Amino acid sequence: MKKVLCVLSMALLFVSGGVFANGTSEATSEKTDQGPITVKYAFWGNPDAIGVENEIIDEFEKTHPNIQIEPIVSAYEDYHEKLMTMIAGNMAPDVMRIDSYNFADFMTRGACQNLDQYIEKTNFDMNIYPVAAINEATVDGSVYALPWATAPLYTFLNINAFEKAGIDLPPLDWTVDDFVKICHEFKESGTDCYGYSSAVFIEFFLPFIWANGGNLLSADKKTFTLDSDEACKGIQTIADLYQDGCIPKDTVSISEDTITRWFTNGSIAMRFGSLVDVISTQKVEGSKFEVWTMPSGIVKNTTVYKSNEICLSKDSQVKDAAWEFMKFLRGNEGERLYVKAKRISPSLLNDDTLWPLYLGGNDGYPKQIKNVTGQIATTYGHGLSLVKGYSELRDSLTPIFQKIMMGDMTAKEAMAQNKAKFQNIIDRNNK
Amino acid sequence: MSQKTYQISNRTKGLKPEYIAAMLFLLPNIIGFAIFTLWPMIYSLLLGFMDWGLINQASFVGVANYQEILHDSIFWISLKNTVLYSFVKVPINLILSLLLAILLNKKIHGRNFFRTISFLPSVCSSVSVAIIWKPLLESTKNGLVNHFLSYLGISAIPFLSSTLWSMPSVIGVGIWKELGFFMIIYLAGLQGIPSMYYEAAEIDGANAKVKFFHITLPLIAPTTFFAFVTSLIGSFQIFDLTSVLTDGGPANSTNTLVMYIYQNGFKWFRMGYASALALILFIIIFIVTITQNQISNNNAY
Repeated sequence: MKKVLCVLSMALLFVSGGVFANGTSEATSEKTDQGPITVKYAFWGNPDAIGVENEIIDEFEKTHPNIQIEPIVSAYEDYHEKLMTMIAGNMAPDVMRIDSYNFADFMTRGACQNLDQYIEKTNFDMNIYPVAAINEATVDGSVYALPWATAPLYTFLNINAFEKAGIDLPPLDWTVDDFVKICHEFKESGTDCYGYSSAVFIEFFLPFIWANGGNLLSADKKTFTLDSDEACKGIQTIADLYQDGCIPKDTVSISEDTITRWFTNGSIAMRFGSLVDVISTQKVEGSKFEVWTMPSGIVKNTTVYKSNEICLSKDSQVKDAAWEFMKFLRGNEGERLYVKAKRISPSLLNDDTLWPLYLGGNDGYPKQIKNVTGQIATTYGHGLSLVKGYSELRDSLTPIFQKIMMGDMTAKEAMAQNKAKFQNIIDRNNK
Repeated sequence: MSQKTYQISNRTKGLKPEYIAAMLFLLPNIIGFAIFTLWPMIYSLLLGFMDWGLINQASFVGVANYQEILHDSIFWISLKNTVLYSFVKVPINLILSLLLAILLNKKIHGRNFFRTISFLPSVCSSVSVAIIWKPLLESTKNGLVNHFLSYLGISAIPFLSSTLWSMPSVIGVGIWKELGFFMIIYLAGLQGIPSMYYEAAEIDGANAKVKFFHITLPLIAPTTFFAFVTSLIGSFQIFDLTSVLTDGGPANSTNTLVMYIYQNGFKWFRMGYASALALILFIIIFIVTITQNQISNNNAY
């Protein structure tokens, strides 16, 4: 009887194991000899952003009836975690968008296909992209992605707030001293409006660090350099404004959507943000705002200028079809649709009609976006020091910046105390 | 009788058919447990000795992860926060739940209505609770709580933007969410106390305080133990509330162990290190539960 029971148990175990194991045999999309090829495309977006992606997919499928695109979409906040688990579970999408903050982490761990052979085979012209964007997607001389949404992070100026307080808008080549002065003017204006607020991320401190001649990493990206006097001075500028009451107290623990709410309801006059924030702000009726450069100093180019990346998965079973879609997505056809929907600002260098398409004859706000974006691209833009482990570095710096802002320690003390930890993160990720 | 005994002893040489049937019925559950619980636990234990970025090959690193944990200041901060949250929130939660249950056990008008509205927060997800409370606790003019406090002459409190106030705020929101759930647990316990004890106590001249401490409290001890263990285990795993309300800030003041595990495993490509942290959390919860069990057994009524 015991033997019967054991045999029965083993049989059931094997059957169950076979049933559960069957799920892992589905890698990425399947290539079929009959019917269209399915290419899975992962991206992030809010409901507005998803609309234009579907339009692009529809347009592509019209001209490529043998390829079907299956979108995989999620909100930005958890997108990369979802992407990571999909790749780990052998369910990697064929084409995936990756934020530049995370690109090095995914690429160095073998998630992204080297595109050199595809570029060469199809004579794809990489010169349509800005040089800075190509550099971000290139590792050891090989291209691993096509740039997407190459654009600055802007300073948003709340024109309603400036007018109400009787403060003039700054010039494009404004300095950190101008920024500090404006923040204090808002504090003393009696309009109940704070000068500035933004989420506590390294990208929103870097302009002040760069303005003083400092940087996050050394030129070879191997040494943590935020402990330099120049960098600490930049960080302390924001901390001093916070302690002086020019920045709302809740800034240390706030999220991006709250910043947008504060900006549109007149609680803050200035914020840093991206194109997605432009779209969110435009939706609020009565919003009068401009996008601007970030304040500069002894270094003029202090406005963060970055891309996101469209990658081909190394595990894809349909690389050729996926590459066809990538070329459409990041070529002039896809760019036109994105720009027309105002999802991204024009970034391709070979089409002069993109800006008029983006602006669409609309004289709404922000009116200066074309001029400011052009000036940032040529004069005021500054790339990020993106390395493997950047996301860990970024997340680990946030609580330190919060401590500095709250006055628990000065920037110099905080950086000296934590330098070893951050250097360890860089060394561990780049050995 | 002896024939029956003879028949029974004959059958014990092999398994009874009903035992086989029971095993077969239990087998799906056992298989599910083995595949979805036991194996992941074993694999997580093994991962604790690996360096694995989730999307690349794992490499064996021995006890390096555990050595790093010992010197990781963020681990100790998140452990401290988790312990603080658990051992402050749970007793307060249970005391308030008990008092509410006693109140709502009395025959008052609208008792069912009050019970319902007390229980409602516990059916909401922690994420939605955090989303609701976040703007309420703002220290700017938009924050409703500070707005009401201003009528009382109290200046704005930085609930979520101060290392002093952030954890008490998270504890407060956590208590608000779970009060109704444990109130229901205690209500069930209270209604299980025979009324003759109270009647006898009244005859002996006991007042409300004496009845509470000498009758109610001892007789709902099993309920209290269950609620304490359940609440404590749940509190040690706090994640969604702090993640949405404060994102572990400001300055890691509300960063909990599970949050830190999530950050390492899913944001920073350090699944091996996260697995090592998870094992430590498991051991802590295991020790706490065993200790509680021992205390409960020693204090048997």
